[in-house]
Amino acid sequence: MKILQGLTERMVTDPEIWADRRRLLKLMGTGALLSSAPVAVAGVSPTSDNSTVRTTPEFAITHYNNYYEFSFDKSEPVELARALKTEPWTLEITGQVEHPLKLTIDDLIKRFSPTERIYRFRCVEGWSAVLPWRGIPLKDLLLAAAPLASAKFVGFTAIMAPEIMPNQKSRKLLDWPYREGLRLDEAMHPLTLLATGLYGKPLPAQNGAPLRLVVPWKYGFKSIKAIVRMELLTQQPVTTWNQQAPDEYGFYANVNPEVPHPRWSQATERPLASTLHEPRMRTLLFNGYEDQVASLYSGLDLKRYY
Amino acid sequence: MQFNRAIPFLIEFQSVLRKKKARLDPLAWGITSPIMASLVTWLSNLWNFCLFLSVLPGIYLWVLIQLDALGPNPVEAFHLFTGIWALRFLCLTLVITPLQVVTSWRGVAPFRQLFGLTSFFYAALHVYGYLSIDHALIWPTIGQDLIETPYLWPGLLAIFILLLLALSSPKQGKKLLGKNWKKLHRWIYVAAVASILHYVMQLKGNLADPLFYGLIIGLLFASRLVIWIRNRQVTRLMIPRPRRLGDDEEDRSVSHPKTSGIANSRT
Repeated sequence: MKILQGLTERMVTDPEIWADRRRLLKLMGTGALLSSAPVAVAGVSPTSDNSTVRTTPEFAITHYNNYYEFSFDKSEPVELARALKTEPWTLEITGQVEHPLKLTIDDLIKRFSPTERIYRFRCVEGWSAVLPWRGIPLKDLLLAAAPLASAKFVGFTAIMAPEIMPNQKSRKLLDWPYREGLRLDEAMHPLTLLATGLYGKPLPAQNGAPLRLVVPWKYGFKSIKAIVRMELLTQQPVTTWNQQAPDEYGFYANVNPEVPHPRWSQATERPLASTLHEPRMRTLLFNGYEDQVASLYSGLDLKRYY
Repeated sequence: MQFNRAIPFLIEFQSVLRKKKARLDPLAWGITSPIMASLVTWLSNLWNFCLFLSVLPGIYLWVLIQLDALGPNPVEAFHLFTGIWALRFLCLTLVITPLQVVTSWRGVAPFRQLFGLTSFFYAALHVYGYLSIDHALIWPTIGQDLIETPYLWPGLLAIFILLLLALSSPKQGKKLLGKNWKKLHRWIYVAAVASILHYVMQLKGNLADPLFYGLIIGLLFASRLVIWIRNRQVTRLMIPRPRRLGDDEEDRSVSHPKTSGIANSRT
């Protein structure tokens, strides 16, 4: 199993980051034990000579959130998302399944044992992070619902709560509620996670509580937050950003340094909480998960199906 | 100083700045610290005050960097900070001439120059941020990024124009270029439009902020157009032209008397 291959540790003086590092190693250990799935951080190769890997400081990822239902400003969801009531919460699984399900978050956690995963996360805007998630492999849940042979796609729908989400109320920018989708084989891939926690704690509201998708080889906008419904479908669903700007945000949205966004390069990325003058990192095909996921796309023209 | 005296203080302060009143007495306002008192006295002069305004964002940025307080993405924060202040000072530079026309206030050229150079200063910091703070001077990556990132192109155009304007800004530059100086410096509008485009193109969705600055620049452009049309009507009527609106003493001194009429009336 490839975990820390090709990586060297970097001297870190900040005790908080050091503590995160210890936890990272611990989590990677438990992750590897609990799951037979290929876990975590594949080879990270920055543009500089020193290869580095470190979990993103918790403060950074909890205070830098693209949660457009609340605000277009990344610093605001941490305050605004407090208003979101995540209890009680029901997840519905419908469509082309043998056993439609309705589950509370407690049901979900009891019935499917959550695992710890450290994944790289790459936003289409060009920033990236390394994050310790806790969650349920989506595959486990889908198998429980038993997709019919006719099911080819999974559509995800996020919460619609205009009374607490200002940009839903004013119908700004996107067609709410937020919707995303995966091909069924992508959804069944062992790396695809339904996250319930982050940094060993329940998922913070601004990071998509109580339940969000994490697809580590795709741009972050695929990883829909605050999911209320999953629907197994025969046709590819309409997804929010793809609907908004189809030439800029594809349905696949696989991380690919060789396919620039029409307005900016995707060749490199800026890790959160980096210091000034720290070199950018080279972005890797499938965000570094090429060995695990490339077979899903054999024969697919990645430039055309971006 | 107590909070309830802040507003009367500001009212007196601005009338001192406008030279409606003699100098402000710090002691009368309860400012006892000698350092604060001399700062207030120094700032009671409009030129000093504008100079202070120009360097203030830079000092604030420096403090943020020293305190490691730029937030979760410090490199991006540096870009946004320097970019927005370059744009704000560019707008301020463009406000000066219409303000002069409306208030028939003389001697504004030095202020226009100060704000223009300040805009260039923050734009240069912005470029330094891109090349060194973000890309660590790794040239192959920078080259690829410049090719693949169209939103950088109008930004490059804007900084190139601002560089030319800054270089030709001193008195010697004006003398050297003669009447071409004014032609060259009208390119500031191209720089302004390019900056807005650069701002809009890197956003994923919400355009409220760049549209706000775009609106300001649009209004300033419209005011120039109104001035230009008025000037043209005046010349059409063949009335001996009064002092040209939108001009100031320094510009007049360098323009050739014979060409300063109809041919040069585009303002």
